[in-house]
Amino acid sequence: MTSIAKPLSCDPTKLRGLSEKLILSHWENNYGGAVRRLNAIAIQLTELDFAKAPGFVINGLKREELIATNSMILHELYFDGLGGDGISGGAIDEALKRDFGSVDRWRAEFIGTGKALRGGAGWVLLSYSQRDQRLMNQWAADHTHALAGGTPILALDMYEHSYQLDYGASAERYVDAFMENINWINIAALLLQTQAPGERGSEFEVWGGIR
Amino acid sequence: MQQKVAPIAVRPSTLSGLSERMIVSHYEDCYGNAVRALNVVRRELAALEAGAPPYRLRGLKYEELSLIGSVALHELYFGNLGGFRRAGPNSGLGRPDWHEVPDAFAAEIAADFASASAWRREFVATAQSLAGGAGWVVLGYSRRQKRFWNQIATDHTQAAVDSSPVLVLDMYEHAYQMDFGVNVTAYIDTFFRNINWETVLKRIEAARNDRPLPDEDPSSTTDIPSISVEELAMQIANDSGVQIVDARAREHMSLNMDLMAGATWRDPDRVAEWIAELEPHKLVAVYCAYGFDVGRNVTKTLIERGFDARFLRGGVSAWYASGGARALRPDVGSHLAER
Repeated sequence: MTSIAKPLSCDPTKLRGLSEKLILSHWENNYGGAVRRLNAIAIQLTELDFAKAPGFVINGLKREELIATNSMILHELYFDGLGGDGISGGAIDEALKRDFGSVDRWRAEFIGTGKALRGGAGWVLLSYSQRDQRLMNQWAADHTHALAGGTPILALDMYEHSYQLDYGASAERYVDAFMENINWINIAALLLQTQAPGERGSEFEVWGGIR
Repeated sequence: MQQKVAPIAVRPSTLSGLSERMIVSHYEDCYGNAVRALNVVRRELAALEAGAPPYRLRGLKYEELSLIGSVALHELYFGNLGGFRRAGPNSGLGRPDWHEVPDAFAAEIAADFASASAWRREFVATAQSLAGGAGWVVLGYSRRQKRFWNQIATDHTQAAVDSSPVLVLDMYEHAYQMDFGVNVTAYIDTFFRNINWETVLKRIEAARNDRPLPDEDPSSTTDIPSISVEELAMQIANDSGVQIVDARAREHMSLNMDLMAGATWRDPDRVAEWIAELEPHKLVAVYCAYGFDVGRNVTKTLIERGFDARFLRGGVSAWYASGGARALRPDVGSHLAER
């Protein structure tokens, strides 16, 4: 199966505090790189004779396949989550209140987890757990960490490639800028879709949902 | 045990193709943050009660391991930069091309790699494989096997057992994004240009002879009295009346917005003009940018005039790395106009 890179879903010239250069470099090199890598790995896996291949070769390829697949998916989620005004409301706020006590508490937890990953690599994911039927903030130290059975709806990239060009090592300011640009309309659509799988919300419902 | 901030071992303004801004941010923010966080984690571990849940301990021990790795590897990384005699034409290191490694180093690793170029190819390719992520590449000497090998680490916690790191390359994106964006090939190439092979060879000598790696603190090479950032913080906390002199060069001040909280900027080239303003019987702590020359020279002059003066090891950069307070500097322009 060949993976195809999605076009950038947010307008990189319109983000506040995140430069076009940074977003484009991130999208072309890191996201694009993951897709290209994944396709190269897929070809190698197709051609591999699993019965005869040594374990370390299989381990290596399968590990890289997991890294590249998750990197691709999480980056798409990241860019889809940008381009908004950072102001949440409606169904999202209700869900956050339900699962975290208050929107502020969720925010503090999400932001704090992001800032704790400064100087390294990782993700902070707001994920919906089908098992527990609730939202959780998930910490990931690389592309392979994922909540089993969870569906991420908001992804904050804490790899340094997502902020060094604009902020140097000042991860705190980057996290604050990210929060200002969250596209909650997209997130609300994902939440709706995740909580009621199979029924894709119409645009009207999505808009209605966050009012 | 308190982890102390080591002064940066290389002069950040002298590197070729690695900007001072990037190196200083790397040192003050990433390295400094690791030192501070390690001290917090150790305090929390010490305060942990017997009945604490295992996951708390596990989390803290994981962070402790990661931070110990980060502190040690960063010190080694800065330490193996700044080669003023890099291999190259007229370097005296026996290579016509600075891409290649010096002969003495090639001889050291000859038994374990087909050639110095084969070693370099593997080291560079290992580093390139970490592009867009995080990690380290370490040339280590295994004390157990008596051999060199290139080790990959995908985070601070991974290290070879019983091995001495002799050449360390930081592949976290903070090490290159600011100057190179995603172009890791250019970064790795530039790193090679800046390797301090003398330092690497000294480490190899120590590792081969089962000695600890050499002390690379540049402040340990002088007899001029000095004070560490931790000791200065104690002086300030105890209200000892220590007088703090910011003696950074005037051109350096014009590029920097801030100085140490409580310090006064004094022109290092005009000591005679301000020396009378100092109180004679109280300690004078003098700092410059990184603790190499300017602060030491001013300290020496003050001592010759009878003051109890010490230079700050690692300069104001080490102070910021330790989390020390900073203040916006008074306008240097009007300060100069008064003179």
